[in-house]
Amino acid sequence: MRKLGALLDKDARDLLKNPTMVVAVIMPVALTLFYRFSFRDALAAGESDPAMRLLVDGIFLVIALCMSVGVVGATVLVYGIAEEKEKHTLRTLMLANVSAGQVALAKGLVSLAAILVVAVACFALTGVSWQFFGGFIAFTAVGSAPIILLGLVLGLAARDQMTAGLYSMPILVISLVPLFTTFAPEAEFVAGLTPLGGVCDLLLLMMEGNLVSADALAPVAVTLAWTVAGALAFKLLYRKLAQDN
Amino acid sequence: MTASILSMEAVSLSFKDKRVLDNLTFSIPRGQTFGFLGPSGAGKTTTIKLLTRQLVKDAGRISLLGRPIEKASPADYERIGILSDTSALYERMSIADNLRFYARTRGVSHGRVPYLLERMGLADSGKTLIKNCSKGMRQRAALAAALVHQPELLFLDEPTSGLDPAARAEVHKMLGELKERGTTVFITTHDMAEADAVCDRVAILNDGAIAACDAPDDLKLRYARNRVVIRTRTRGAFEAAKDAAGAALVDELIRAGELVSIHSDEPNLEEVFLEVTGREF
Repeated sequence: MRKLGALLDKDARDLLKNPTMVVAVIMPVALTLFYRFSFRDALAAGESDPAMRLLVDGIFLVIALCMSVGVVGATVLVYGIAEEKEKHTLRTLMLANVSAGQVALAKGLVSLAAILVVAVACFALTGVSWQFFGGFIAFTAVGSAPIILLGLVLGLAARDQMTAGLYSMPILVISLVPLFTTFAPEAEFVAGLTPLGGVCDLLLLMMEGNLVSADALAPVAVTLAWTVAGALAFKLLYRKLAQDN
Repeated sequence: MTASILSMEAVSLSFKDKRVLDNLTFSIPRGQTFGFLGPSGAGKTTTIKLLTRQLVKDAGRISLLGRPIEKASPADYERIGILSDTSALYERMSIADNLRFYARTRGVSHGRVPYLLERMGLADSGKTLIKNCSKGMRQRAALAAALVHQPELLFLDEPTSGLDPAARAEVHKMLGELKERGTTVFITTHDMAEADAVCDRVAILNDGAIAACDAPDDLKLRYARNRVVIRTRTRGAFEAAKDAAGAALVDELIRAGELVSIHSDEPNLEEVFLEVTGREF
């Protein structure tokens, strides 16, 4: 535990000193603000139309969730681990009897914390009723699991920060797919199959009051499937990638 | 007899078809400073990687802290310190914060950090970020990080590479103090003068095989040339064999009042290396 504590402390402090990470943390917040400004007409209309208001709130929360998990998760993890590899600090840590598993766990937990902090900030900026806050944070945490697991695998696979840029792109893109279907409903089915598609659907069901219904089964299954897939990928590749390091 | 803390017995390693370590055998008693000498590419770093389980041998036996290396536990590795050729500290953290971080991961008090900073000549630079440090400062800071938990066994891969003479002398002094405390040190270097100064025993590695292994003085004696250098008043300096003819010559020079001095002609460690391996650094 003492090693994990030291790693958590170090990673959390580094998050605030690393320009790449700071940008990754600010970007979802800034984009949430941008979308709120862009949707100001719809927001005004929603003042007198509850259905419209619910639709706009749903879009805002999907944007906030996808941005927080996708941008922060992909960047903090993949770049963080790749930088440790590139600058040989990961090897130095492992020679100091710290296991790659402890490094991965610390980075995963710090990423989760960063995602949740950013998600709280984004939620506050959306102006959505606080009655949805608990559910939003819970679904953000659940949706973070597969992204964090995939990010850990790609971070260990990346040779350096340049490769990390390439490897983090699929995570980023796949995380943002549900966000774009708010503008292209015909892609809804595909979006529902992405790692965050399930939790976004569950979030919208919660806002409609239909969370406990048959409609929730498919999104739950998708979310579970991605979490299991991420855990399997991590379990299968972790030992090999850690040894290669 | 002092127990061996580290040993290799007939250890070999190949990378694809190339044999990089060939039948290495040596053992290091507790408390000894053991030098692994050789030119770049001789296999020094590869040997350290085997001893620290970064690589796995093809054949032979390695014993670490009294047990086969395959059975070494994480607790055993808490007793070891390693400064590798790629050891690096966190660039956005200060030297002192890096040392405090490593102290925490090792489960030891931060109390030794000021002492280590002082000993490494970094007392005034504790708050300097690693990214703003010179190569020599980084090397000294990395060495301090390897020492923060007072390891019983210390692996140092070219610890003075990139250091100026003053810093190098400070590291040598530190190694002397570690020896006094009973720390076993396995050090690789291609600096023969350094090995001569700090090592109790050295192994000379050539093309992946140990060409000679002994105390530096014993190696020098073993490879000493059978001659003396004689300086005279009017006939200059010349060599003479250490035999009856040489003794007669010295006797004659003394009687003639010609003899100024007689010097034994022992090789230094670098010359021993050249003799043993037939190559230059």
